[in-house]
Amino acid sequence: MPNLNEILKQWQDDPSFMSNVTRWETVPAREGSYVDFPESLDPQLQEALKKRGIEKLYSHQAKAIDTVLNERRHAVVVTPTASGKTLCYNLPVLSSLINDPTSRALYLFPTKALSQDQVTELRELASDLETPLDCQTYDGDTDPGLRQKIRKSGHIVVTNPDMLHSAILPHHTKWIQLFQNLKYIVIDEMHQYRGVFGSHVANVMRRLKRICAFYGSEPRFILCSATIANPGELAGQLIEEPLEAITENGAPQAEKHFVFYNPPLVNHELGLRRSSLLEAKNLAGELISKDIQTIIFTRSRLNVEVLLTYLRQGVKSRPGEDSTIKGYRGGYLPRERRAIEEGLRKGTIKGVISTNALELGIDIGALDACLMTGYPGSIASTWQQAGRSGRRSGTSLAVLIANSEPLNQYIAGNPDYFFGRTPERALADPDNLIILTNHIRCAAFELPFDKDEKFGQAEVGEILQFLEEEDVLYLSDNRYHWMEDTYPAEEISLRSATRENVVIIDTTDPQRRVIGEVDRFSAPMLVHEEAIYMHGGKQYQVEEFDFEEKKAYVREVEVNYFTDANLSVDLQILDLYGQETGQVNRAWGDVRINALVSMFKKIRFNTHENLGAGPVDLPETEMHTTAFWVSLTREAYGNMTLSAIQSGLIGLAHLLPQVASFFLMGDPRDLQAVSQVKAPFTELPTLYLYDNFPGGVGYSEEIYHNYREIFQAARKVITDCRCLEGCPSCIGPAYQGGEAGKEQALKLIEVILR
Amino acid sequence: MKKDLGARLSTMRQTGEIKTGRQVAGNLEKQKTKGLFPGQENEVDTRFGHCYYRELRYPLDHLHGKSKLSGILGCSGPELALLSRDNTLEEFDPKKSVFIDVETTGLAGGTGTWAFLIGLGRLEADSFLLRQYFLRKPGEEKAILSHFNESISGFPAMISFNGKLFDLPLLQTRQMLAGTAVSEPRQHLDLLQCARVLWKKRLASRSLHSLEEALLGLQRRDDIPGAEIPEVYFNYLRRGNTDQLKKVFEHNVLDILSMVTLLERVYLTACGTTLEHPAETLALGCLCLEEGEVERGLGYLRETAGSSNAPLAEEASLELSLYYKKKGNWEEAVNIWQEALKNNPANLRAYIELAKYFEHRCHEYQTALDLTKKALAAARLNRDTHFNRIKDLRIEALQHRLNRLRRRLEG
Repeated sequence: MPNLNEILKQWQDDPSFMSNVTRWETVPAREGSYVDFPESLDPQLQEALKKRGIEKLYSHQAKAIDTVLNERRHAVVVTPTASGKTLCYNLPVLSSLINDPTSRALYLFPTKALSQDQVTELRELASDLETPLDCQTYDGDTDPGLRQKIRKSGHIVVTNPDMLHSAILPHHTKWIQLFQNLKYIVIDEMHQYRGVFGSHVANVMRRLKRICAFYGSEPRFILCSATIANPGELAGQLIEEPLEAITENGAPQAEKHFVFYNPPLVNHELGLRRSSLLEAKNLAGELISKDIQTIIFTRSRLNVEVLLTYLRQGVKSRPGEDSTIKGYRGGYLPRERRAIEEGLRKGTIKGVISTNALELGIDIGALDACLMTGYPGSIASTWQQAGRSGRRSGTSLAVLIANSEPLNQYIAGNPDYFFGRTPERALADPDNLIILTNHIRCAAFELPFDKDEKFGQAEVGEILQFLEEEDVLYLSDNRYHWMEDTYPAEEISLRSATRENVVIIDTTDPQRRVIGEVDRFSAPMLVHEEAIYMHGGKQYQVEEFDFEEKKAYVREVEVNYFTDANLSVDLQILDLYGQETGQVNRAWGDVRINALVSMFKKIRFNTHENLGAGPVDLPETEMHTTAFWVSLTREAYGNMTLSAIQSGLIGLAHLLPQVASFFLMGDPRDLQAVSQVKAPFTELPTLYLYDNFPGGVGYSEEIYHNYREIFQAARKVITDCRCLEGCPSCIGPAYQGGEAGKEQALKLIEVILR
Repeated sequence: MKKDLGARLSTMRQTGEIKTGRQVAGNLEKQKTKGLFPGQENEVDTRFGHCYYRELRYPLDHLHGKSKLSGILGCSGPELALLSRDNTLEEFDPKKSVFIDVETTGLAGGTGTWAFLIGLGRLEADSFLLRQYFLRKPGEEKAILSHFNESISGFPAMISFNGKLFDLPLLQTRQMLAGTAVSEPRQHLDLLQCARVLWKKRLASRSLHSLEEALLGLQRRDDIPGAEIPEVYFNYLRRGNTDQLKKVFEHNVLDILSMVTLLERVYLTACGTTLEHPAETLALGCLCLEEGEVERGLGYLRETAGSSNAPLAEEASLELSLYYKKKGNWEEAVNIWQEALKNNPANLRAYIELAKYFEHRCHEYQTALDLTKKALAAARLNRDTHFNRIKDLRIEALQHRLNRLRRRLEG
């Protein structure tokens, strides 16, 4: 790729560019480590591989085959992007199915799109085998006419945990052929199953193993993960079985330039940096105009559309020609997405702007450059996104463009994390009481519980008794039977509190059409009336949002602004689980959160100036969760005025969720903060941090115990920041808080840590 | 300090994070059924334990609604096979059939729904025998399911109302879970499917209760609504409360007896013996035509076309015309369409069929164009009619046709 090398040279020779670079790491090319096909691999499969030009395996692929087929152990394989990961499970599974075509395998991917992609790849490989093996996806899109056939005769059923949870397990008698003969369960993208989602999935696995035991099968698990510090631990939490962790990577690696780019300060006093989006626009514009196929990751759907608009303005396509720059995100329809994926593989699309939807293993071929606007939230995600450029050979580029958020600034200042051993630990809590109890309901629906039965490793006698007292279960002959007129899996979503989406309907033409959807919690922010909804680089104005029917009607418009909604949050304490009182009170417990979008602003493209505001008239959403809070008595804050306290609290509310999430290995959005100068419960100035998930996932309790570490880190972020009175990188822009926000926030931290 | 588990669980109860039923009111005397119900009560020992059922016997001249149970004696297979589009029913014999209807702990389906009352009816010499298996406690399920399976195994045919989608799969799921033999009837007549074919155009609802009122001359009094049934069983199981249980048993009896008289009515309609309404004649005509009984079908359609019910007559004519068109009998078809337009100048379908005829058969594009224009005008007047469901009749399709005809006239 001579063009790319030229650009890199130019950048390196440009002092103004290099002044923004906090680290330029050249990851050298590396030879692969190859081995011959193991004997245990069926000859048919060896032939099929040779036909595809594969004569040898990478060492980790052979190790996976050996562990699964010969040692008959469960395995977790940890490999970076583009290291032939899928063969690590496809080879042992196919080889085993060729030998015994009555056996079955179940593949789980976190998204439908990935399932689709995998089945295509599997079928190609299977088509070269003499033994006919049937590989099928089974999800919400599966043709009802095909479903029965898949249940009876699909050798490899590819689905997602949600479908397993809500459709397959509760109807396990229809899947008797699968469960009686289940030999392998493949869980790819394992690192995605952490936090709330992971805690749910671990319980779905407990249910799955329970059903397998009922039908007399004992499947072997093969898990695959991006690089994390604790793959064995997470895998163990998910499947609760001893397993072999395969971590050395035998795949070759091409040279890769990894650039950490911190946009220049545009306002020293305010600590404001140039927008990462605008920087990405410039860099991507330059790369794409020189014919370098580039993927740009953004943190939100909105940013996908904003950037798409910017880039299309810059790179004009010839009239009548389809643009070579595309957007790609969750709200697009499957057909659109397939076309974009194909365009990327064929090279007809030069630039794609995506949310993390393209982070996972969807096949889009090898691109030359990857730009990340903002830290993707975890080191593992960063490497996965960076891995989208440069798969096998030739130089490739990855640029991480920091934004002004505290965590981003921390990362830009500490890039070492990326090149040593990753500090990231992905954790799930399968025993979260709400999650566990809800899955016990689902499990009891599927099969009665024996009185002293364990659920995975969990002792659940007390929970079963509780559910019996609640008239959910019925105890008879020492077994707990499901006795309720409901279908429990239906009301339990593995991913969030809600599973109902709002559909977006374009009414521009008389023939209305659905152009996308958004989840119910985001809907008040994104599709309130008068909102500008962006899709496919076009702007649509929301004309009507039918909250009850979950439909938003939009019409195409062309305006010079986008909209941004304000969310206000009200919090009430319901129950106290722990507290320490004194001059400073710390506590954690149950709270009720009421969130309301009350207004929105119109913001002009490019200059980002405020063009006006409007009201939003939508009902509030309610959530019960756990929170940590700290309140200050008069003795503690002494002579600080209430307005000074308020200004400090607003600053801390901005900073703490971000700092805490770094310690808790969560997404900053999993934690939220609210401050009250005079809290109804304590009557004192109070700062709350709450788990942004019904029932909580244990973050608040963790913060309660480790608050010192978190507040100390927050103090460091504030003192290290070069702004004067607060900026987005520390306590938020000064205009949001109040007078001398930094000083007041630091004072409060001192009081809390005293 | 974290609260103990019990306290946290009870908090979950208060905040509603766990969906639950009510508090237990206390364990009253449980599972007392003996002497509760009229009829012959039996408790039998099976190799899987005890099971309970009661039996009721009805004379064949028992009047249910306006019909006697004996009405089904004359039902024979071919008509029912035609109606159900199922050849296995050719051999159907009412004397070798069992009616089934189950009462369940919910409608959700899946493995967590129980069948706690299985009603079974059959002809026996000079009477109709009705048996109800009742699940006194979960532990007796296996015994019931296997006894039930054995007692129906001698009967080739099962008759149900929505049993193909609900009752039978549910029983089979329970049997699989209990690890006992799975019932697989050789013939299965689902009366709901029959009712859909015959009465779709006549009745807005084809629920058993609607059919009873509209066709069978039966009004239920003091019947328990189906939605309340699971709760009644839970109350019995948990609190020994039998107040409402009797009503569930009676509800189940009525369901089965109604299936008997419904079978007779279905059969008589399928034979063409009882056709009370032109919608029935039309439905039967369409069915016969589809299933290859052409002369019979045409007869019913002609009869409907001549009826005084204008919309149904129009529909029947159209069905006839489409048949003629398929057979190449253009004269008859065109005749019908022109006639239809005389009666109803907004008949979109007739315009379009004529337009197609003039465009593709006669190549008279101007005539076709004029007809399409009229069709378009008619379509714009009534946008929301059922025509929207037919692809050819949507406005875009009409517009497309119009443009094509214009091009043809120009070229």
